Amino acid sequence: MAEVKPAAHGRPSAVMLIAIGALAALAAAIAYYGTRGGALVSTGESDEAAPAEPQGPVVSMSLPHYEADLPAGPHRPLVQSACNLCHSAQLILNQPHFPMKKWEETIHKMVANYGAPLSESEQKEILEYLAVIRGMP
Amino acid sequence: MTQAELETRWHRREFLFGAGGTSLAALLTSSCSRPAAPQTTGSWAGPDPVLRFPGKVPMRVIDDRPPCLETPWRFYRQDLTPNEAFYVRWHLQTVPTTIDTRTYRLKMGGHVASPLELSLDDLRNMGGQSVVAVNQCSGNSRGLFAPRLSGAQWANGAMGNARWTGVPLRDLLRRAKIKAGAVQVVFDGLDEGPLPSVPDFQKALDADHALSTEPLVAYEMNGKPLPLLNGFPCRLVVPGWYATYWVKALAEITVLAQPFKGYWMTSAYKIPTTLNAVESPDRLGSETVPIHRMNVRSFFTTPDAEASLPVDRPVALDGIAFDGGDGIRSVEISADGGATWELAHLGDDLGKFSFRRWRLTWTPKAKGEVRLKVKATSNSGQTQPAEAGWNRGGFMRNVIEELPLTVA
Repeated sequence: MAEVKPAAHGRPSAVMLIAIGALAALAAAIAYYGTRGGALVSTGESDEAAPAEPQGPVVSMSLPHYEADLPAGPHRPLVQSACNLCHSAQLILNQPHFPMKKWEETIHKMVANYGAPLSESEQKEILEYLAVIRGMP
Repeated sequence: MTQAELETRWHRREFLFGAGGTSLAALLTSSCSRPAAPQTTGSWAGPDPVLRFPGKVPMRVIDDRPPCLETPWRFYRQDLTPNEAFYVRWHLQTVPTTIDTRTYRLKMGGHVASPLELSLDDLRNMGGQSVVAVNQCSGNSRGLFAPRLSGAQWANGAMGNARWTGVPLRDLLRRAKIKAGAVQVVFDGLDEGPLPSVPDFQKALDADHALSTEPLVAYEMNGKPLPLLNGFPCRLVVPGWYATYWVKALAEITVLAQPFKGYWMTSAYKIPTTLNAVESPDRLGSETVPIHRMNVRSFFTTPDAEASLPVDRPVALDGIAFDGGDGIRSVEISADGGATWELAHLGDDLGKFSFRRWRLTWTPKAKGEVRLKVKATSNSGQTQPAEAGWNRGGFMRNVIEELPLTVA
């Protein structure tokens, strides 16, 4: 039976302390980067438990930042700045292809119902872009 | 295209840019890099990323801002959808990301004699009542409509079944001494639009519905606090009704002596008054009403779509069925395109608002491709249509679902 030696005079060795400290820091870093934001692109196959809701008087989360990349097209910077006010580019990218008339209605809805601050000419420019990336004859 | 076929497609995509995502390098870079969007196939535009949001398993992202996340199909093999896999749908930025329960108050006012401000502890101390109920987005399955529609392109995963625990809404309304002549009750959450011009997300129930035994202000979901993404600290639960009414991060309840005129009741979430809300693009229904009770649906959860099964060997089929609160009377399966139907066995009854598990042992008798069909009938006799209906909002899809299989 290997004898278990108490640390000399009950004092853990400095090397041991440093090792434990380093391991703890590593574990904390992994936990931090592994859960914070959660912007982890995954295979979707893992069932591993997601981090639990924090308990305590203040409950908070930090949402992952995910900026979908809009394809090249006319007036892309305007689309990025105007449409992104209310929803991310991701919502645009998963829309089906539509004829011009349908996109016109959609842009009108954003202006009329949600007050998107767009001039007539800007609306036309956004329509031009959508016709290129999600248009249909 | 079935849910499972769509999921298969996403999983292939996930694999393309998701493999190895757990390495530290991927952790640090995955949020800023993304492969170029592949060419679309026509029926489904663009790839949707699968991301892990706080407290959630990796989920298909319909929109990340505000978060709209779809439940992976395999979780419907459980009767109660786990909180960490429960779909998420917000309308407005900014969604609440921090709640200080020491200062949070649920305000009740309007046409009441005794306005209230209740803390989360006050709510918990009022005692709890539980109900197992399906929460389904009005636009669940919108991505499967033909002709296609704009909006959140959900497949079938914008639904979940949970045990909700909270205070009956009517107890709160009585405690606030709701006055005679109340017409509607309005619910407002902590989410806010990014511009003052964006209509605040407020929903209303008729006073008699609000005072019925059904609606709850729920502070627990499956025995745990609600995830922030699902409405912590509390949300309205309206069993049998579409989730648009289940206001999350509930902050204010206002009783009105007249009908509510807000955008999200009078313009959005409207359905035609036609049977099962069906209309066609060239003949839109002339009259519309706010969407309300869910219609009956059923799904396959096992086996996986496109599974290959040996001929003459029995296979266990199972799935779920639910409706708007009458409860499920029967579920039937057809292996011959709907010519004949066989009754499935119904599982435990968790209540008339819950998913109802169904099971059937089926033995394929011939080799080749087969598409099984599943059809539920509610206790009120409502059943599912063979052809998918359509409406302008992409709401209330409940066509008989199919499961494509190969018998070898």
